Amino acid sequence: MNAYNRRQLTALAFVFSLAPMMRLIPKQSAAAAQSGCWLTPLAALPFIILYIVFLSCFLKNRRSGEGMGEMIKRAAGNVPGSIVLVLIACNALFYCGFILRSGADRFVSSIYPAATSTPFVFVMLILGFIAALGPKKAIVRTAKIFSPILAAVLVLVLFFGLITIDISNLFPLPCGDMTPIFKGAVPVFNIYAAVLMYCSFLEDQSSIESGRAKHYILWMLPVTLLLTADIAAIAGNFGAPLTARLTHPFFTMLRDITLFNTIERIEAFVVALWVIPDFIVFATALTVAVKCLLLVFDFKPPEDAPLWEMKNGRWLIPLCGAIAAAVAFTLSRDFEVMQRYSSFVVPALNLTVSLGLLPLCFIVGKLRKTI
Amino acid sequence: MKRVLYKCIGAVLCLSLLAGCSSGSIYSNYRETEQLMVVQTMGFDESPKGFSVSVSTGGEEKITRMAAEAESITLAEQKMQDYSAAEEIFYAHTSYIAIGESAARSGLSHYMDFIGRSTQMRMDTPLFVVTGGNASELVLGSGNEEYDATDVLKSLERNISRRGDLQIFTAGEVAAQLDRNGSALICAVRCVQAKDSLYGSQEELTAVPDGYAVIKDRKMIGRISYHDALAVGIIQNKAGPCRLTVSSDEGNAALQLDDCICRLEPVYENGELRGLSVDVKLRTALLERGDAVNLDAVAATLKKDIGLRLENVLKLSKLTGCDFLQLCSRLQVKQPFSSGEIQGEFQELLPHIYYIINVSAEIDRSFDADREENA
Repeated sequence: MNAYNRRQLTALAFVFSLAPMMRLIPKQSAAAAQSGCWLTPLAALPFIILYIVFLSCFLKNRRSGEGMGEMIKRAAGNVPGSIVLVLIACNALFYCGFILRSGADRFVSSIYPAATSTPFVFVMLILGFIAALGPKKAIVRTAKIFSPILAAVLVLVLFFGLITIDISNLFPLPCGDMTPIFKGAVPVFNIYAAVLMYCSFLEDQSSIESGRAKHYILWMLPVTLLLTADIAAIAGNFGAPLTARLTHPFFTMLRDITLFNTIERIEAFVVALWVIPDFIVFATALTVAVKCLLLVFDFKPPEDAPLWEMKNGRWLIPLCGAIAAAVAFTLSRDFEVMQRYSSFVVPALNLTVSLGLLPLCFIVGKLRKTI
Repeated sequence: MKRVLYKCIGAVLCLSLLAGCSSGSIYSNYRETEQLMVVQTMGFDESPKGFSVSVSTGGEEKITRMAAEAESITLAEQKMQDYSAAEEIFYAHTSYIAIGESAARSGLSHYMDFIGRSTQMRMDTPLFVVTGGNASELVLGSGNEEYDATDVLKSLERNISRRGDLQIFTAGEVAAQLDRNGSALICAVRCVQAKDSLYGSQEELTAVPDGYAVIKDRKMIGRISYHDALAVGIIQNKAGPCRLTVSSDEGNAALQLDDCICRLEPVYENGELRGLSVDVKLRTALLERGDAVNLDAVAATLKKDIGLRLENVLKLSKLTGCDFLQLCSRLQVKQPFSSGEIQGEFQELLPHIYYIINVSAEIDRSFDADREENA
């Protein structure tokens, strides 16, 4: 089974991380760490590296065709493993619904104030659903194709953002008490832990190679620098208190960017481009949820099954899509409630899975000597 | 065969969604360019009804000026839209925002909030306070059929940047400063009759720089005169190159301020911040002088003049207890690893701080015509 390689998986992780990277991290880091917020990715880096090492240890003895899902079942045993997989699927489906709503809300609050979020939810749902019906390699390869474009746009935006910063907005840095910076590093760690965790479920179709941890750590270094530059550009332009108050500080900064005194108002283009990360997040999370449930019910549908075929448990795909849609439409439209979801509920659920369930399975697997 | 059929159905569905951008399309946000009235300057005032909004479109073909009063800015915009049936008023390219003095004195919160929330307006739009009048006077009264407030403010912006004696702050910068320590500066302009200028002959209005409006707790509490405004740039190391004239008993001399460096040093007594030492180094060039004017005397007068301006600005900051010069931020950049609490402490200490002002000036160039000293 060798549908994609590790490089393509890190491209998936990069594109996956772009949606929360732009929407949540600058705002939450600024709220927690104030003027030192641009240091939070650097503070989170050692913990993310530790998590990469942990995931690599977990997947160290995987066999061909096995990903994180199979390893969980192998480590914890059939019944406990299935329970864990159901919990992970529930979390992934909730995340799917949340990403559908928050992606649509971003469109409404940054470009189309007169619109409702419903059409955006529907479009993303249909796109993600079609992607989940197809082979996994399609999602991974889409991410690989778009990652250089997204990275180039991001670097360009950050360049024009960084040249207008007021350096005094990035100081002072706390010297004695580093608590605010580490507090601000929590959302950074949480998001990257979730990204790496979701991507590890798709490793079932990648070849078994050595040096997994090294590969992901080397990928993480430039991503951390990019994230540091991103937060520095936003907080340097608006100051930490204003960054924490703005709904989408990255997209507000985009509105102010003028390229070479000729092109301005590029935010619609960039916001539209950010549909791709939303699509990747939704499609990946939906695929992971389906994958977990397939493992629970012991279904093994062929990877190249036609889109409309519903045999061998593939009926779980429309079922999961419907659940994600139901979550998206059930979530409150109130801004405060959505804020609470994005700053507390979703991170708490992700942390429970990435720092609770997975390490627990790992320990059980090591004790049982099954992994 | 079945697969081809599905593909065809998919293609037809996609094409039906891409059936043009005008009415009937799912893309509801589309507007024809010819049907847009592109606002370039906006003015905000307070009015008995609540708010008064005035707009001017600028542009080369037809200048439109409009104003409306309502209980909210959004409602005033809607009212203006009602009177513009043929065109949709489009605010996404607003280049300048002017706020009347009385509105600024009543409070900027509502206007800043409106700008921040708007999905159309940019945070980097330059802000002006119209001193001694309303923003609507500037927006509706400036210019004639050929030019409008946008051209007036554009020219003003260009002149200010060329002169280097004043700064124009954007909505984002003002919001960031207000969030940081509750105080900020906004460039002030005054409306004057164009006929007062050398070649203006009509009743039309134009705008001239009028220093800075001092904002504390989102309200205008005072003004720094245009004469003293240079001191703000000097303290923030953003002044120059600019031209200034110094007068002494022997006559006048015009100088170009090429460069200035301002160093701030905190003065501690018993471990507590008691004062600030403000060391300013000016590097100037001679542009013109009378025969009797001695270069040393010019330098001495320059030092005295700049010292007085600095004193006036720092005194205002101390009296109002308002760090509009962002002195605390300057100190924090100097000592980057300090406590985050210094901002609040500094605000409390500000009224009790003393300043030691030191100005040194050198006139190191005199362009082409060097002369022997007369005096």
